[in-house]
Amino acid sequence: MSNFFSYPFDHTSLLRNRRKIKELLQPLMKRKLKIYVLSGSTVGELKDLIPLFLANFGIETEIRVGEYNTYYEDALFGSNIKEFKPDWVYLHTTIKNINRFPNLDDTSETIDTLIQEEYARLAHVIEALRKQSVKTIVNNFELPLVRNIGNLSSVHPMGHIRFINRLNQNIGESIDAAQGVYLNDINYLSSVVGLDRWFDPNYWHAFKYAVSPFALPWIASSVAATIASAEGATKKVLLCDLDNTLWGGVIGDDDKEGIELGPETPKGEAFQDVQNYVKALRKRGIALAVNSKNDPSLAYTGFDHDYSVLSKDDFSAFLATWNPKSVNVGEIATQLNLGFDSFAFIDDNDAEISEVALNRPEVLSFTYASSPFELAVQIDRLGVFEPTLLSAEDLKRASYYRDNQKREQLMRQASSVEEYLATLAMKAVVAPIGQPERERAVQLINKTNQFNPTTRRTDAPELDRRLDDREDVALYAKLKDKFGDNGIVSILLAGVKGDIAEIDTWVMSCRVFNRQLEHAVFDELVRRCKDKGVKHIVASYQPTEKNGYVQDLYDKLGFERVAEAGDVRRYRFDVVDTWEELNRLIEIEYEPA
Amino acid sequence: MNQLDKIQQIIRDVLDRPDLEINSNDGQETVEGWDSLASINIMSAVAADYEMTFTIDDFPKFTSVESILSLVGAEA
Repeated sequence: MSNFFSYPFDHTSLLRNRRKIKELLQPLMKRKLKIYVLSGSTVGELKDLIPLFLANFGIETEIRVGEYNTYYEDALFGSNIKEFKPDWVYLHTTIKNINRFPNLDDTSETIDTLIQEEYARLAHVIEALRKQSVKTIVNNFELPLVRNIGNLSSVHPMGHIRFINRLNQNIGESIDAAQGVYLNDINYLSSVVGLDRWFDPNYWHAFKYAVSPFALPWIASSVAATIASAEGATKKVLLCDLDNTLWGGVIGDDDKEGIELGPETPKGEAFQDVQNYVKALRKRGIALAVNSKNDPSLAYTGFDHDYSVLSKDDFSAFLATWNPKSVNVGEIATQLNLGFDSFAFIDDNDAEISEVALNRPEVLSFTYASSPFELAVQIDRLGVFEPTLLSAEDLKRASYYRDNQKREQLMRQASSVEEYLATLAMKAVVAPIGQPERERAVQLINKTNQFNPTTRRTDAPELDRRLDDREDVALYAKLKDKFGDNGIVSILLAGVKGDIAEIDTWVMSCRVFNRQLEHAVFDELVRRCKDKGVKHIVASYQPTEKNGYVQDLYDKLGFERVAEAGDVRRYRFDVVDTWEELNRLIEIEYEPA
Repeated sequence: MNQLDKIQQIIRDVLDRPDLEINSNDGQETVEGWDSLASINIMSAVAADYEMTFTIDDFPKFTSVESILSLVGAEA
């Protein structure tokens, strides 16, 4: 779903796909609301867009729109609202509804009167709706496209910018959620979009759109978030991936000291800002949970980093497992006793986002393209955690979840892993390492700690020697899927002597854990061993603090344990004629010779 | 996809009528639901699809398929 609502919003795509979006979201609808829009200018596509953004929060909408520019009469004297009995009214007014702006020869008393009159008109509407117990959303005012006296417009008593700012201050003071009156801050929204795009003179002069169609999704999103918030349908928990989401790098490989966080690098600064944003959510009552594919004992250590703004106590649930992330979502829901529709999820990896979307469509998920801070921007623009009131209870809520959590870490395997992997349409290249792959191979061997049964390191000259050796098998693997290319993610080196091959080095990036890529790599090794007349493949596993992920690797591939010396386990695999390939899920592409 | 098909798809999406058949003689008079708001939306969608910008003067042309086709540079 997230692609239709991806940021920046796309007005025509939302509009043209509205039937499809509604059909996709229909199964997730939990309730229905009636909304009436009072018109101050052309409401246009808001009639379609507000229901779409509400559907994203699980709310189905029946919407009706008043006659063009009749908001005042409609609210005070009309019968439409009485008959329709809406749950909510949105008052779509803009500066085009201001009767008169200051003239340079006005007295300051005249300006005060103008402000009172403008404010009174809005107040009458609000009062009329309050009497009917209808919850109401009112706009403040956007700034005018052109200024009457340039920069002085903000300073001079007759300046139009100053006039709008004074009006907005009055409106702000009349907003009171306890009375059912909510603000839609178009002064902010128009600056997000940019006034030049917010207001299009063509659309105004021809069709009386005071807000250009292009900018309408920003209003729809904000109005929908306000309604969803007051109706309790916004999100309550932010699920966070760790590596490359809350810090740069991979904690399991790079260590606490190696991850990028803090003022020393631009990326580190960006991740620290993401943490600042997440911490601010936590402080106003949004619960946090970790949903990460990681070694549980290592995942915590990132929060001990000197520049970590978040501490592990900020998280009400902490799921660092090798399970599919949708399985973790289920576990977090159980621990916190909340529904899946309470969750938003951030992750740098499109494949994880898609796995969660497939299995837990109620969860709103976000990723980023270039800067991690895009995560904060998207959460803000969709009003995922929009508050309408800040109560003492809000400020305590996150710790409430934490105290109630069951600390057990369930390592359940999902029954649908294979199904999920099949949907990724994975393609791999598994081939001998050549010059182009050499540098990446050295880097991967030396920085990988998790998928690394021997923790043997190498350097470029040593690798070169091995590549020259005609007997040794030196393979690299690249993996891509429908979301993109992961590049070179696995290296395997095996020395061959006579009819025995020994895997002395095998590493894989944690980005592609649980994709069964090891099957494809091992198949290629066996194939090459057969060609060389190798009868036995031997390997060993030497446990370290970090490589628990591969403790059963060779058992799973069909090796036999043949010896144990100290903590080192030795394995043997017999290459037989009846050998069958393990790989089922990854399409192997052969590089041109 | 030829230009007529492309315009047909835009009109189908905007009017939310997936089965609508359009030919180059059609317009506001012959297609139910093609009101002035629909014309505006068709204009926005054509502008986005063809990466063109339109002005007030162009607007009256969004009332018939033939004039839309000539605006986007396709012969009717």
